[in-house]
Amino acid sequence: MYFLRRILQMIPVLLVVSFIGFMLLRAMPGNPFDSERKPATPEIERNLQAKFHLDESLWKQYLRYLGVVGDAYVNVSGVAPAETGRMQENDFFQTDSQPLSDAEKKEIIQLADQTYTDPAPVGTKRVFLIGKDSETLRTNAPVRTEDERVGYVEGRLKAKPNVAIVRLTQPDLVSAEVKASVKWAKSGLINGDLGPSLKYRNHTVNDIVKQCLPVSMTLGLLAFFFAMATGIPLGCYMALRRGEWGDYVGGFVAMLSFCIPSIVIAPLLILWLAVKLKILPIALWESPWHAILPTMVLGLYFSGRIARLMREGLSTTLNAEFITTARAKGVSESAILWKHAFRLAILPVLSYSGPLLADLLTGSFVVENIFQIPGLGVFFINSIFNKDYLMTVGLVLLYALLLLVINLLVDASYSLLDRRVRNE
Amino acid sequence: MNSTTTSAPVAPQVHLSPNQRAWMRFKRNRPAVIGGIALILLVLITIIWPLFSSPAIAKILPKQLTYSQEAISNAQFERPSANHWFGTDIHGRDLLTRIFYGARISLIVGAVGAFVSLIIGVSWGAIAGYVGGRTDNIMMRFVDIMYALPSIIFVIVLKSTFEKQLAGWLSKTFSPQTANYASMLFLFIGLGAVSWLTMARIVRGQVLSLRGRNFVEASRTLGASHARILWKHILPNIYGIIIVYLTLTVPAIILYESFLSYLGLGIQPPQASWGSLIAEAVQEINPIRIYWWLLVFPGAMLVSTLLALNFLGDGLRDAFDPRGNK
Repeated sequence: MYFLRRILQMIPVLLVVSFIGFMLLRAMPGNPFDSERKPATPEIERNLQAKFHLDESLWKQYLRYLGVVGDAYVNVSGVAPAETGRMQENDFFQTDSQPLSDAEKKEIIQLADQTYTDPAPVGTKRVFLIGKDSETLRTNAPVRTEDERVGYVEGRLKAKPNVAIVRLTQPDLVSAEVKASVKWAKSGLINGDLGPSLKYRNHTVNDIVKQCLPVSMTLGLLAFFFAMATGIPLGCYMALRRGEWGDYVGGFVAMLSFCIPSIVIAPLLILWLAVKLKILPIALWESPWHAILPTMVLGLYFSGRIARLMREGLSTTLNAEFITTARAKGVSESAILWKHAFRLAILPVLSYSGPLLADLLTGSFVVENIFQIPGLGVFFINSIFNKDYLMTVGLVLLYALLLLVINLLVDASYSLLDRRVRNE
Repeated sequence: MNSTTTSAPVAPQVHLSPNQRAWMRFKRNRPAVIGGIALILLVLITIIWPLFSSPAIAKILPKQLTYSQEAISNAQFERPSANHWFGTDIHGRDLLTRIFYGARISLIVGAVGAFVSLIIGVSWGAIAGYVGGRTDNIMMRFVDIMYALPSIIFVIVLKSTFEKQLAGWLSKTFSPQTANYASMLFLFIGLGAVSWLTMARIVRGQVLSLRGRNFVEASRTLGASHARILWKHILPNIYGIIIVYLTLTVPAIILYESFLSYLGLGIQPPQASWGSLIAEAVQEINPIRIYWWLLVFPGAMLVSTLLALNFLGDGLRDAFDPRGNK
């Protein structure tokens, strides 16, 4: 029950995060197409704005991002043979099965001729779309076959709002039989869709996450294990040598590890190991050898913190009464350390490892930048620069989600390790 | 108990306030004291360094100390030598001078950012803890949500949204040169504005526990206003903790600034900070010649400053909060 409630509580947090992120980014001056190659005519820009709905009100854009406001689109599986010029009697799509009388068809053609006096340009074709659900189509809504976009909705007859005028830009792609249906696009956050990227327009944000998250995750996990594998032994050593020289030296080493920023240590290691001695590759992400330097650099910063937390935890635990009791009973020192003390002593490390892991998984911007690793960090920074705001919000949400999930897992493991903690 | 009864006959009983006792403890912590002294020295050198290049003073000093920051020379990428103790950079500028000018910005960023985070964090935490109830709940949920947002977007959004307006305003109100400081000003404010969360949590916890204590109740009974209770009775009790976390915020912000400058989001040339100096050095990494001094000296300055600040912060924490870090 407790965990179910925690999971439900994530939803409002994510909503607020998406709202703040979205509004903040949309408040920035300029738009994503500023950095396009010039000259972009105002018309092209307007079309782009319309395509990505940047011309709508902020509220509507946000609701669309959530998936509450969606778009209907037309799915066609067949089109009458291509002809240019005026619309004709067989240029009708029906989305429901009510048959049209010839008189009605004539009337519609007449109405359309009054509105659209210019013929459709060569190679394209205008057709009618009739049906109750065609009213849900907005101007510019896409028309597509199973696998390709073949046109868009040009407008609607004022006198008969259930008649939409469709411009087919690629009429030859479909043939013969004519069938059409209006469908609601599954999009938005509620459908797990993070939207398109405004910069890399052939990719959706989901694509990029799918491609880059594994890289960032691998690097993050490697660094996490590196930090644990170096931090925990050092912390234990310090706790067991408390007040002696070993403790002070260890404390200094730990402090040094988080006072040396990655932007200092990484270039030095590159200069020494990669440029001078040539035993490791300089950058990029190809073979396991490429992972060594980034892992060390990223993990080093955290291993000092882990060592200090481990020292705290272990020395507090070793002073606890149940340890004194165990000693009095004659339990050996190693059994005390491993069987009794370690379980509790690791708790501070555990609670720190939640935010640490989330940080490592998504937040290694600097290290990814130094080593030119194609992870999420690069896309995150670039997306902010490019005002590719859907990408930024998507990555922010991903980060927030990871943080929440990992914290939940940490709390769950807490109650496993320390039976006194009950999650209620 | 034992120690007080045995020492009482020898020395007269001296009553020390908690803050005085903390100071005594601090003075015994050698690394912390050394860190503090080193920092004071660094700040002093950084302040007087620009004076060295003024003609009157330059006459009596060795010329190695008197290069001006902008002086471009033909001596590109010179190794550290008797002429240039820390070597020169791509434009032949003296690295030693650049580092101390960079120190100004790095230190100011740390100080101003910490100050901004102090103001926001303490007021946020104090109000949440003091008012309590639903207000507290809402305010702290907000802090939780802010934790989940990567702070880098705030800095960038703040900068890019308001920078131009501020630059315009500055050049109109003061002089056109001041417009250059707009971006730096936003770096200060932005970094402070994202670093107050931990401070708010700690202050709130402290205020929450002090709120119900007898002396607060007493002064409330006597009719003291809420502002007075907070300001005169509660805050003086948590100064120690606030100072401790302030000291630990400064290195965090300096580090953050160096990251941002490294990524090209922070200080813009010709201004320099340690982070941007390191970024310049990294651009010069190539397999043919190694300009190690460009990297090592700014890096060493950054690392030792961070070390000093962290030792100082640790020492203060041990002194003010002996239970917190045994």
